[in-house]
Formats: sequence, structure tokens, C-alpha cells
Amino acid sequence: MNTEKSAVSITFWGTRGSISTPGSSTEKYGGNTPCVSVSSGRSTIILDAGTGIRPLGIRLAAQMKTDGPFPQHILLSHTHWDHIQGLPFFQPAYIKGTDLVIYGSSQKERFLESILGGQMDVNYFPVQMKELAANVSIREFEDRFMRIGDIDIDIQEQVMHPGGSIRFKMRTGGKTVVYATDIELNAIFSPDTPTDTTEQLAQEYRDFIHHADLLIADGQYSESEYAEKKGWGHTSVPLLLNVAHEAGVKQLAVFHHDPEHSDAFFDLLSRQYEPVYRNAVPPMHVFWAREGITIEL
Amino acid sequence: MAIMDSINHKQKSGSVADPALASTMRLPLEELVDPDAEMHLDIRVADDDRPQRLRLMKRPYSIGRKVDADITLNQPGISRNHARILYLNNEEIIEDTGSTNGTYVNGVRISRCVLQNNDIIRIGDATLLFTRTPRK
Ligand SMILES: [Zn+2]
Ligand SMILES: [Zn+2]
Repeated sequence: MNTEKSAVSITFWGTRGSISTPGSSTEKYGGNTPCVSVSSGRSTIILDAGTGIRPLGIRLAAQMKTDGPFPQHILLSHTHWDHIQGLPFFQPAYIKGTDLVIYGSSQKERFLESILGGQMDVNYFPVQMKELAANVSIREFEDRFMRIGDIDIDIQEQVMHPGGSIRFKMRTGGKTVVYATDIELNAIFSPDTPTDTTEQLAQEYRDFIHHADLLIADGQYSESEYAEKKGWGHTSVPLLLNVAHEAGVKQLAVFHHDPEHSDAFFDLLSRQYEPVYRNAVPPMHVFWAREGITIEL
Repeated sequence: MAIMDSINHKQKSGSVADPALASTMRLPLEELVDPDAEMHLDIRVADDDRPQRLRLMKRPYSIGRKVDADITLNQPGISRNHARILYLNNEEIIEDTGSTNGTYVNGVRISRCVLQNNDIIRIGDATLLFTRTPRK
């Protein structure tokens, strides 16, 4: 791969929301739950640890066989199952000498360490967190900004998702990638009763995604589905597209796919919306995120 | 705490985890991938062209303008060394090999993509339709 010359490359390892969905009707867009890697030069960060982190771990472990262990940074948007379930299957965690740093919100009642350790409790999983061979360190975000290698990262808490979540903005090589999943933008941009708070949240969101080269965002529901899933913490496709376009986003990856949606349905949505925004002013490239794809910016 | 007690009792008296279940269960992955499927690329160099069918033989293919490429596409907008197709772990993968104008799969500019049935690859003005059909 020509990683040398590229500024930033993004790989989707898992794009499905809520629960993994194996089967012939989901193999194109994928059945693994959220995991995205962002690489720039020699720096890589991993966003979320859904079941998609397993194939990524296999790839990294193979690389470590030749290059030796190298540090891994996993940033968690939140700790709902679909975003952490792959963690016990992340092979580098079992490789001695690997520094594995897992970052998450500091705004929770329980410590991140106990939440993550909980899913590896003996009743759920045969290997306990403290038994992992890697040097695992679990950190709660202390600041709204951090830097990992060549990548500058802005961290912002999101509301309008049960329990909250975090969005990330990665800046590297002059490009901006935003990862903002698990949020009900409809409740912010199209609330029943607009308030100062919703207006402020809307402005914060617009500022955060402003002119992003790539926005990876929650677009779980079609418009008609949203009417029945109001308050569930996810966004409808047309609203997302509209908000992203108004903020001057250049490329939008619709993400966190509903487990009920088939490949044929995403093809249909794609055919319906992609040309509208391709021909808009300014043009915005919209696609439905698909497992196994790497794009470069 | 009668309820708690009965729950605790249940946990403790229940059979100790069966080692086979304690580890991850193996999924019959073979059933999801048809190893005998035939894979093709239908290559169309210009819009009005009749496609040329190439059967993919589970080996790497180079794609580019240079004559010794496995798939030579001598067209404007195509780099000498444009892309390649790889066969890895039962999957066909396309990679851009540093082309100037990019490799697109269903309209998305990619640097790497695991191919799925009916994907349309665009390289310059050429389109390559990838199909995977079960062998009857
Ligand atoms: Zn989720
Ligand atoms: Zn969630």
C-alpha cells in the first residue's frame, strides 16, 4: 500500500450499529460493529472496539510478528456493547510487550477501567483484563485535546444519546476527519421545542464538523423509521445529510447501520441521495460506510 | 434477600463452565464463503464498448497503462502502474498502487477495498464489473 505518500488513510473494520449481523444480506456493507482506524505516516489510532476490531487485530498481530510489538491507541466513543465487544478478541492485547492504551470518557459514574473489566469478568469471558499479556493502560480523557504521534485530536462530549458519547476530530497532514457516532441529531437540529440549549448544541456540532474532509456519522434510520424511533439516540439520514452539507463537509460516510437494514437497502439509499449531493453547491460526496474499505484523503 | 440467595445458589451449583464453551465457539465460516465460486471482471474500456470478461484465478493482477501489466488499459487518465487485485483469505481485494487519478469502487475513491459481488470499479474511463457466482 502507498501509505508513505498519503496524508491520511481511514479503514472501516466495522460499520454496523447495535449488534453484529452476519449473513448473506449484509456481507457487502458488513456485519461487524463499529471500529475505524485512522493512519497518518507512522501514527495510527483506533476508534471504537466493536467486533470489527477483531480482523484489525489479526492484521496488526501479523505485522508485529515481523516488526515486533508497537503501541496501540484505542479511543472509545462510549461503552455501549456494540463499541467495546471486540476488545477481548483484539489479538495485540495478548502479545507481550505491546503497549495498549484505551481512552474513554471521564464523565461516567463508574471508572472506565471497571466498566471494561466488567465485560471480561469470569462469568462473561475466560480471560480477565489483568491477565492480558500486553501492558494495558486505561485512561479517561482529562482534556479536550490530545495528540497521538502526528494526529491532533479534539474530544467533545455528546448528549442526545442514552448515557452520552464522545465525538473526535482528527487533524493531520492538513486534513480533518470527524468521527461522531451514536447521537440523535434530530433532537438537536429539529427539536419539538427549540431552546437556547438545543441552539447551543447545534452550534457546537456545526463548529466541530465545519469543512471536515471526512465526516463519519450516525445515520441509522431512514426518515420514516425515525418517526417510530424518536428518542432512541440515533439520527435519520436526510437530517444528517442536510446538517453535514450546511457545515461544508466534503465527504460523508453514513455509519452505524441499523441491524435490520440489508445491502439492497443501502444501495437504494445511496442511489436516492448520492446524486442529490453530488450535484449540490458545493458538492458533497455521500457514501454508506462499508466494511473492508480504505480511503485516503 | 431470598431472591439473591437463590440466584447465588444457582450460579454456584450450576455445572462449572464446560471448557469447550468457555473459549470462543468456532463459527462454520466455510459455509459463508463458497470456495468454488467463480470470480470475473467484465472490463469495459469506454462507455460504448462491449465488455471483455476476465476470469480471476485467485492470484494477483496488476492493472495499468504499461504493456506488461496483467490488465493493460491503455487510456488517458490511467497511470502506468495504477492498481492491483489480490486474493487474500478467500477475498478479492483491490488496491490503488499510487495512481494519479484514483481508483473508485461504486463511486468511492479507495486505496484498498475488499470486493463484493457486483462492485463497479472505475479506473480512468474504464469500468470493471466484479462478479462472484457460485459454480453450479
Ligand atoms: Zn452504537
Ligand atoms: Zn450507543
